[in-house]
Amino acid sequence: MLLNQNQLPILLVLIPLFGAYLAAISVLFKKKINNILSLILLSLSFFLSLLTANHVLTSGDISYHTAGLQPPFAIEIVVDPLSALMTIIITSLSLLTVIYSREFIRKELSDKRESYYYILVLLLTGGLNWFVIAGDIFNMFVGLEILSISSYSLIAIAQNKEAIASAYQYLLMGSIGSSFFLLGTGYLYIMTGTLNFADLAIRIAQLGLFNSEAIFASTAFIVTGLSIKGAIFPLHVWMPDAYSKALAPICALSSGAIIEAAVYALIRITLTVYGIEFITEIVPVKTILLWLAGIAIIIGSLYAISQSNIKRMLAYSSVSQMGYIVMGYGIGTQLGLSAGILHLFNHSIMKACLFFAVGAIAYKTGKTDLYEYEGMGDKMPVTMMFFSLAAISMVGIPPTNGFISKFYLVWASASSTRWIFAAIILVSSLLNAIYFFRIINKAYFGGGHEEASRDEAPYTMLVPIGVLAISCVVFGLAFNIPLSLIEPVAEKLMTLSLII
Amino acid sequence: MVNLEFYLQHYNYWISVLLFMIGLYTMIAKKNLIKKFLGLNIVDTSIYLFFISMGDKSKAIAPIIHGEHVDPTHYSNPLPSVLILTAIVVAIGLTATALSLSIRIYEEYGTLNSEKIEELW
Repeated sequence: MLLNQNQLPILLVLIPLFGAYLAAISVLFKKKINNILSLILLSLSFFLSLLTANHVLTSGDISYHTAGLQPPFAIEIVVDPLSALMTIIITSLSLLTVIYSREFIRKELSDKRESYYYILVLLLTGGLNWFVIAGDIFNMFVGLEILSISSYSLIAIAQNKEAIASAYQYLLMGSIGSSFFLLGTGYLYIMTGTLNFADLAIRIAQLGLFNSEAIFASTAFIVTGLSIKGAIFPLHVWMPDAYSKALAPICALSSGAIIEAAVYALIRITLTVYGIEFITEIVPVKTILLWLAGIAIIIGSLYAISQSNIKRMLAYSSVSQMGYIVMGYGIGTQLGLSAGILHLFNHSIMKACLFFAVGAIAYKTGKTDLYEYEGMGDKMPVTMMFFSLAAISMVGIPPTNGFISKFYLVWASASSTRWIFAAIILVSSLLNAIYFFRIINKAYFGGGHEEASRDEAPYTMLVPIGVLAISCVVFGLAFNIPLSLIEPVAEKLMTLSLII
Repeated sequence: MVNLEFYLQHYNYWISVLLFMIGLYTMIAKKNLIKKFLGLNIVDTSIYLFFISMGDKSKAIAPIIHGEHVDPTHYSNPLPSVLILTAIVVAIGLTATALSLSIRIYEEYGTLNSEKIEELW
């Protein structure tokens, strides 16, 4: 084969990153080329991420070193099945975003801003891929900053005055998160003299640093920093403002990939660097996050019920869904971790679909408020059908993927005899049902049938919504596919031994 | 008994902590958006000082191999400086983004006071 298989992951980063520069240059020669260019580049990345996942599953983890050195001296890129799954989520969502944006952005933004938009989406994809496959903590920070800066700009690109102010608020909070992450990295480096994940774990154990205050401080800073980025309750305050004003495809991409990637990094760092025993017994990160997640699920759902702006409602729903993911991690068993990560995968599909559908409705009718959705089932039947499919998946009705991951979560909390969390999940499903069925009820049975004439969104917008909505059902039945990528890693992370 | 000498010898970390606190206070207490962002830059600077000072020691020389043999313990650690070089570049990008956003905010709202912006929202 022309390409060495070990070099696949680095291409996942380089293609979107260099593609962004290519897009910046090519727009000088031909306007409106960036949509096609980013479509091609992201299709290529998506194909490569599938190849990487296939390679990882058949012949083991990929470890790629730069500069011809061996880790910990070289920059290492590690791809195991879980990071392969994350790159699939990221590249597929950004590909769908670009397809969706073709018509959407043309209406919302001027030609000049339109080309900037695609450059930023490419940068964001490159940064996200870098963030999830980095094998050392400092490169993770650099990836985090690339994705953060491009996401601040993407939220502000909507150019209404609220979007700019909320992007500034997001920027201030997000940069505190990054600074905390960097400071935590500093504490780890000062104690161990290394930055590579695997090497950090070995050195912490060898040097017997489990009771060192500096390591405690690094845990606190890194967990807090990533919680801000991942919108984990109570550090979620930037999210509803930013999402209710940003463009719908950006909401979908942020809610489906960015906050997920931050939670993924939280799981990866705490479990590989510190190890399960440290974060369970010495610094009770897991227990704290578990209770916060329990509160987040209920509070997020209650806030979502009280909103009438649908995008804002979906943002608060994301707060509660991030709670599910963190709860799975906080339960602290292998089953719980698999359930949490499975919900991470499913949530990115469902929430992206919902944001896309809401964006399509706003594109056609300009309606963003719950009480204006009357007769929408007659006006835009296909979009509303896909919206309802994703909404019932969110509520957790079989045979959708939301049901599977919630079932796994309840099972995990019941098998570790934490009944209160099983109860929280069930109660919150009811709360989800309240705010999603309210919309479905309004759209189909809320009157307004007479004046409704059918006016469907263009195909470039319907296809991404449809693909995601159908995947909700497909992965509800074929949930073995994501689980086959999640379970080996969950097992490995939970059994990492501290005694080297 | 607190070992005062131990704390005095590590004054670089105290300065870094102090700057960090000043920066965070500025971000919380000041109403002007640019001042808030300057607070963030102070926080970043405190982290840079923290990194740089941990890699250095007194009378250390740059780790460049040339001709005569030098005891490796006389070298300073170059890695923190390299990391911070990257972090500074990142912070410049962030500063540029924040300042351009604040220009747009001033155009839209006519003020940079965060409380007034919340009223005009």
